[in-house]
This record gives sequence, structure tokens and C-alpha cells, in this order.
Amino acid sequence: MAAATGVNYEWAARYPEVGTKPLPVTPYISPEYFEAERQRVFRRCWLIVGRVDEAEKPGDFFVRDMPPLDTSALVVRGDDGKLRAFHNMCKHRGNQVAATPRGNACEAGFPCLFHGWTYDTQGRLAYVPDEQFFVGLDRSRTGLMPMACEVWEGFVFVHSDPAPSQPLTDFIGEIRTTYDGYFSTMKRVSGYQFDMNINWKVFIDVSVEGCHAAYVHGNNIARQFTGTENPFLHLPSKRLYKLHRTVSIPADLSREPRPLEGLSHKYNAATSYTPTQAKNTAEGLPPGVNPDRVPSWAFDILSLFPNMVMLTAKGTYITMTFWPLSVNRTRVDVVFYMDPAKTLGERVGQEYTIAMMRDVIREDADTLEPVQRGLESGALTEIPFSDEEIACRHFYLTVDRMVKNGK
Amino acid sequence: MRLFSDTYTDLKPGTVPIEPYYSEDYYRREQQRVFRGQWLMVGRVEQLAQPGDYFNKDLAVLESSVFVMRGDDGKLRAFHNSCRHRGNRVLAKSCGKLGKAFTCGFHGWTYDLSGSLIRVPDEECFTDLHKDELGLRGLACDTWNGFIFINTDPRPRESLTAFIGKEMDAQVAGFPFAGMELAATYEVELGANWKFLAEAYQEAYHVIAVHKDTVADRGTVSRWEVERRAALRGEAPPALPDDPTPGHHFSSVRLFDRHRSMSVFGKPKSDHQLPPAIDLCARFAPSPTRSDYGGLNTHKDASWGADLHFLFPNTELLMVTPTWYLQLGFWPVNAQRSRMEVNFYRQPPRTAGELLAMEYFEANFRDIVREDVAALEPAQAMFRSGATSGLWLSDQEIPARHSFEVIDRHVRAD
Amino acid sequence: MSAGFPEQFRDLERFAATWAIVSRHGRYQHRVRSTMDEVREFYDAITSRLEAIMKYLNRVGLAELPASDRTLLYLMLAYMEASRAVEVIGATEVHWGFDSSRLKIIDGAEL
Ligand code: FES
Ligand code: FES
Ligand SMILES: [Fe+2]
Ligand SMILES: [Fe+2]
Repeated sequence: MAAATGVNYEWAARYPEVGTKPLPVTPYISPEYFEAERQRVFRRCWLIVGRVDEAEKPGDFFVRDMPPLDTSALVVRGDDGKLRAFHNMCKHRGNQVAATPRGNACEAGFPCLFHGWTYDTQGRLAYVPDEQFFVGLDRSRTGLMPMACEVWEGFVFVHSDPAPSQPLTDFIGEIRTTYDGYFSTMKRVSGYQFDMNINWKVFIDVSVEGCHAAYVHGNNIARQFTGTENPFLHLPSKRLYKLHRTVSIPADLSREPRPLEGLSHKYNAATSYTPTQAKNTAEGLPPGVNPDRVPSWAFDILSLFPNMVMLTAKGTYITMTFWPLSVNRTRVDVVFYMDPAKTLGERVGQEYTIAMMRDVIREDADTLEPVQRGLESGALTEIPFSDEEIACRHFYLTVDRMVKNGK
Repeated sequence: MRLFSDTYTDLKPGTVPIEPYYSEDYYRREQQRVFRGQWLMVGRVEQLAQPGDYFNKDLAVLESSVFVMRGDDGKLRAFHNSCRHRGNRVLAKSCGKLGKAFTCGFHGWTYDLSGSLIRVPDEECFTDLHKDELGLRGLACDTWNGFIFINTDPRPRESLTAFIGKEMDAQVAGFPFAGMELAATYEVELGANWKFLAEAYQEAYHVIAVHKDTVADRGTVSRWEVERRAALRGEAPPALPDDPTPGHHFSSVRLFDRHRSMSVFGKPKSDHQLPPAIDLCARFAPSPTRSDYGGLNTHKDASWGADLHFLFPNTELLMVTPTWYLQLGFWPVNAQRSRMEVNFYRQPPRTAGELLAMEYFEANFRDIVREDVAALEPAQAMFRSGATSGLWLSDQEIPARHSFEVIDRHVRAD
Repeated sequence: MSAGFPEQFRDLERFAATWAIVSRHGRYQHRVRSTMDEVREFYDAITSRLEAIMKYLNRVGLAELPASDRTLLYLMLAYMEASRAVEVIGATEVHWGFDSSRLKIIDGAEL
């Protein structure tokens, strides 16, 4: 077949289980499929809700909405130093107990603003005003409802099942040790959130292939990567794991940077997605980042199953979390992390990177609402993913496997 | 300690299930059994003083817009606001005054003030059209104490008098509803189930937390704060004297078959100097023109502040003085959305002082309403999380429990 | 509000442009959107003349009040609103509640 069409199925040969067949459109448009995803993917996976440094000291807490679970998670470090997650829901009449998105609860606990029931930093119900009027209430059994909470490389994961059968290390799987220390030096510098009329998987698909770069990002950063050798931005490294996947984006180092870009590089070689000669290797990075040690390397994309995409470069990474609101509506949560700037020049360079990547993300986003409408139109029943798009295919099949077998 | 549930022993303590507060299925059954075929309060007779006066009411729960109109004969009638030709809304405005007849704006069918179809333009072009069968579809309509009720069943199983019942009627008998005017209406749409909303107006437990800066007694607020801090430190709460008339408790509760009445404690007169605006109210508020009005504190509670009368399924009267009262309507929009309507009725003010005093009570209520419902949307957003399958209610919240049980009884009835 | 202002309260007329608001919705919105200092300045000014104002406005029945006293009357209605912030809550806004703009306030009887 390859010979007949002139197509080289190089990646499918490496990952034969992923295959080459076109795949049905249904998972992007079917409300029933979406309901199955909510039950079998989102309720059975570990999901990232934040970073440990958001709850560093005893009593520190933060709240994250988790739309596909119909809940809001309260992550809090107890006065015993242990990090825990709960449904942010009072056991009296259901009000949200943490009324602010973040704070410290050491002093006041979590006093529910509706009737004053108060929970401590370990989620126990410490105080019920007028308790004598509650017939049959056992405070030891009406603490906040826990969710499982574990940390990997500084990311806080929660699981809707308080005692999940799959431990987090198992869920992380093959990449468990390969990012050792990579994330720990970087701090949140910026972030934003927006809602889109797309299926949540559409944005993840566009994040793990390079074919669209020349078109969608043509005026912006495509040229930093493509060059004459690789006009369609083929990705030289693709690693498909049991649940997750990474791809590496190559750099075209022959290209002259634009004036401000050059300036930004000069003062801030450390945190950039558009590499320079001076910074194009994986030197000093753990084995998970640029895992195939691509020689002219810009950054990687890590698709952490199910709903997180990370853009990992040297000295900076971006997280994009895709929270489905419905089959065709998605909340996108973007956060930029960088090594703290040591000079003003570095700080300015960081800002250049942030502005540039914000445009890149917007270019992707702008393309996708029409894509979703197209998928919904019925004109297409199957998607012919190319071999270059094997990571999309792999993601698709991973979701599908969980929806069908629950594993 | 005496509990209300010692009197109402058939109401089980513990939790009420959470599913009825978001389930689409449950809501559909409510539409059928709690709203259709039941008497619903929609307005006051003063709104329709003259023949031809009408008002419209959009009722999502009935999937209809309904209007009530006073006929030439002085009778009040209610109709679905839908033309019998092709369904157009016949009366487009929210209220108004009609002459002898009114005409559908789509193709000109004309109805008289009793809803009969009297003119069809180009009538010859219709085959087999019987005008006498094509009057507007009516609903039952009746009044109690000047409140207008409708019932989707044109021949209800039960009269309005029987529906209200002797007990509820006696609660407010003698109250001067008739002399009042509508001063203002407050409306808000909320992302919360209508029962959950209504229940927030059938418990006083939230006063200390939600109304901590407004209604609550400052002493009790700080007492709870002290107790809370002690509990968080794992210490026994300090022994503090009991407040004999706590503002967050009911002084009495009366649960009827479907309706219920509650009273809250009054505050003993304090010798503290009142702040200027509140003092102005105390001095200038209208005093009842007759001292023998009934309909307040019928239960004769020793310390009394206000009465709340809840009429199944979705109406409440809040009564504090013979000179003004509030009527609240809790209308479902869908399973997880509702619209609250608050009507403030007052004795027409005769002086600027009376006007200002009553304005204060209204301004007060604008703040209170916003606090009352503050928790509802955050809570509703968690109902489907699975974090709990039931909501706790205390003995003090027994009217809210009764409210749920009565609705649930209807929903489950065969 | 150009219907005049009683001579003896001229010192309060400077509040007319901002506080003499005809609708309840307008008065409520104005209170919650003002700063506490603005509310307090208005409140204090009226409070200092309260006795005289009430004596003046209550001299005749509400129906007999001349048009030239209307602005002062609206100022007083706003005063009742403003007093909530100063005397009761200690802030222009309630500590917790849905956004005030969602509360639709429809005036019934005039005033
Ligand atoms: S809902 Fe939390 S105390 Fe009532
Ligand atoms: S719909 Fe009313 S006349 Fe045709
Ligand atoms: Fe892209
Ligand atoms: Fe309240």
C-alpha cells in the first residue's frame, strides 16, 4: 500500500497497534459518547488540578472547578502537613465551603457562609452551630467528601474515587522518572482562561501534530521550525506510551531572528520556544525532555492523558488544561511557567515569549471552532489521520479504549 | 429540650435526598403534579380594578403564558394567552386595559372580554369553523383575601377555599390586605432549583451566618465565632448564657396538610439610642389606623417578630405589621433554574415620614434578598458531584423538610 | 431634578445631581457603586439637618407636598438607602450576594 500511494508509513510501522485506518467522527460530536467519556475517562483517571507550591504551608488551599466531574475540588494542606483534596461541598445544605479561590485556613478553618458549619484543614467537621437540633447527626461521619490526591513532579493530581484502584505512579507509567526535577525550578508567571465551542479532544489533536504550523502559524512562528528542509514540520520524535505521548518540535537554526526576537534571545536565551544556536540541545535536561535527543530542538509537547497538554522547553513550560463543559464546549486553562528571571533583560525576554505563545495559542484556537462545526455538519463521517498525525490517532484510540473497556 | 419533631412525628429526621433538586425527570413530574391542576397565586385583585384590566404572566413551569382579565360582568377570568387560530400571543403587553374586545395581531381574530371568539376576518374561507367552540382556552380563576389564583384545570378537583383550608385561612384572618398598594416588585433569576430557593425562606438557621451584618443579633454572631474558634482548637466551647429569644430560631411552627406557618422571635425593646435613620422609622412609621387588626401572631407567641405563611406549592407571605407585607413567588424555570418574585405591599403613605419609613423596610429587603440566596448557586453547582446523596436538616428547619415532603408526596402520588 | 429646592436647605442641593434619584433601582445601584466616603459624606450632611428636614416635609400630607419639595423628598429616599451602608452593614455592599445588577427592581406605586 505504501508503495502504491507513495506514502511512507514510517510511524505506523513503529507503532503497528495504532494503525492507519480512517477513524469515525462520532467521538467529537456525540452527546452519548461524551457522557461515556465523563463516566469512564474523567471519573477513572488522575487529573491535574494545580502545582504543590499553590498549597505550600499548612492551611494553604486552592479551589479548582472540574466541570466533567460536576464538582469543584478543594485542595488543602492540613495542619499535619499532608496535602488532601475534597469536594468543595458542605454536608449540611451543599454550599461551597471555601468561598475564595485560594487562601489559608489555619486560623478560621472553612466556615460555611450559609449556616456556619465549620470544617478544619483536614476536612473534618469541627463545629455545627446549634448542633443539638440535628437529630442523628454524627459529626465524625459528615466531614468533607474526600477525593484521592497525589503528587508527581510537583503536579497535584486528584481522582474522583477516594481509593482508586490504579495508583498515580502506575497511571504516569513509562514517564514516571524521566522528568526528574525538570519542573521544580520554574514558577508560574502568567495564565488565562477562555471557553470555546469545540470538543475537548480537538484542541489536544492540534497540539500533537506539526502539519498545521505552516498554515496556521505561518506569519508568526512557523518559520522558526520549518525551514526549507522540513516545510510541513514533520516531527522527528514521537513517543506513544500506554496513556500519554510526546512529540518533539525541531528548530530551523539557520533562520535569522526578527529584530525584537533577536534582542529577546540575547538577554534571555534561557526561556524561549524559538531556539538559537546557543541553546538547541537537551543538555542538562532529564531524559524525558527531548527524549530522542533531536539535534536542532525547539521544545516538546507532552500530552498527559486525558486532558493536559504541556509545552516543555528549556527553562519554560506551558500547561494547557482542557475541561469539557459539554460535547462541544470546552474551557481552556493556560498557565506559563518559567525559571525566575535574574535580570531585567531576562524578564523582558520572558514577556516576549509569553506574548508570542499567546498568539500561537490563539491561532490554534481560531482554527478550531470552524473545525468543530465542520465535524458536526455530517459532511465527514471519518477522519483520515496521516502518519504524521499518529499521535492524534493514538490519543483518539486511548480515549476510545477507555470508553469501550473502561481501561 | 423540646423539638418541633416531637409534635410532627411523621416527619423523619436526617437528610432529604438531593436528586430531586436537579433531576429533569423529577422536574417533569413536578410540572404535572405540583403545578398543573393546583392553585397557583399570580397576583392581586387591585391590579384588575376595572372591566377590561388584564395582566400577563409567563409561566415556564406551565409552558404557557397566562393572562387574567376582568370581564364586563366584573368577573375575573384566566386564559392561556394563545390565539385559537395559529397560536399567536393575543395580548402582547405585560398588562393593560382593554375596551369591549381585543384582536389578535397576526390575522385579526377578535375575542370579547369573556374570551369568546366574536369575529374572524374572511370567515367564509374556513371550512367547518365553529366560532362558539373557539373561545380562548380558559383556566380556573378564583380569589382568596384579594389574591388571585389560577388552576390549569378549568374544573378543579378542589375549590380554592378547600385548597387554602380553614387552618391557613385562620392564620391571617382579619389582616387588612385590601387597603394596600403594590409599592415595588423585585425579581431575580437564579441558577438553583426552585424548591431549594423556597426552602431558604422556610428556615431561620441561616440568619447568623448569611445575615451576619444585617438581620443577625450581634451578640449571637460573636458567640458563634467564639464557639467556632474553640472547636477548631479542639477545646470545649466556653459556657455562654442562652439567648431566650434567638433571632435564628422559630418561636413556633405550624405544619398543615400542604401549607405551613412559622413565626420568629421578636427582639426585646432596647434602651440603646437608635441610629438616626432607624430612629426616623420608629418615629414616623404609620401606626395601624385600627388597633384590632387580626392576622398577625395568631398563635400568640410571647415573644414575636414576624409570621411566614407558606402556601403550597410556591408562595409565601411575610407579615410583620398591619401596614405592609411581602409576597414571594418561587417559580421554576427548569430543573436547575428558578425565578424569584418579591412583591412589597404597603398601606398608602399619608405623609413623607410614613413614606420614608416604609422605604427603609424595602431598602432593607433589597440587601436581605441578596444575602438569602447567595449560597444557592454555589450549592446547586455541587449537587451532581456525588459528594453526598442527601442534605441535612435540623429540627429548626422542619418547615423546609415539610416543604420537600409535601412536594415529594405529590410527585409520587399515583 | 430642576423642580426647585427649599431655600432653607440650599446647603444640601449640591447632592441633588447625584443622589436625588427617582427609581428604587437607581438609588440602590447608586449606593452600591459609590465609595463608602461618598455615602458617608451624603449621610452625614443629611443627618445633621434631619430634624429640620422631617419637620419641614411632614408639615403637610404627602399629597399636598408641592412639586418644589420633590427633589428634597427624593434625596431623603436615597438617605434611607444610604443609611443601610453606614448604620447597619458598614460597607456599601452586602458581604455576600449575587451581583446587584441582577436584581430587577420594578417600581409599583409612584414614589
Ligand atoms: S450549607 Fe453549609 S452550613 Fe448550611
Ligand atoms: S394567530 Fe391569531 S389570528 Fe391568526
Ligand atoms: Fe498550533
Ligand atoms: Fe434570610
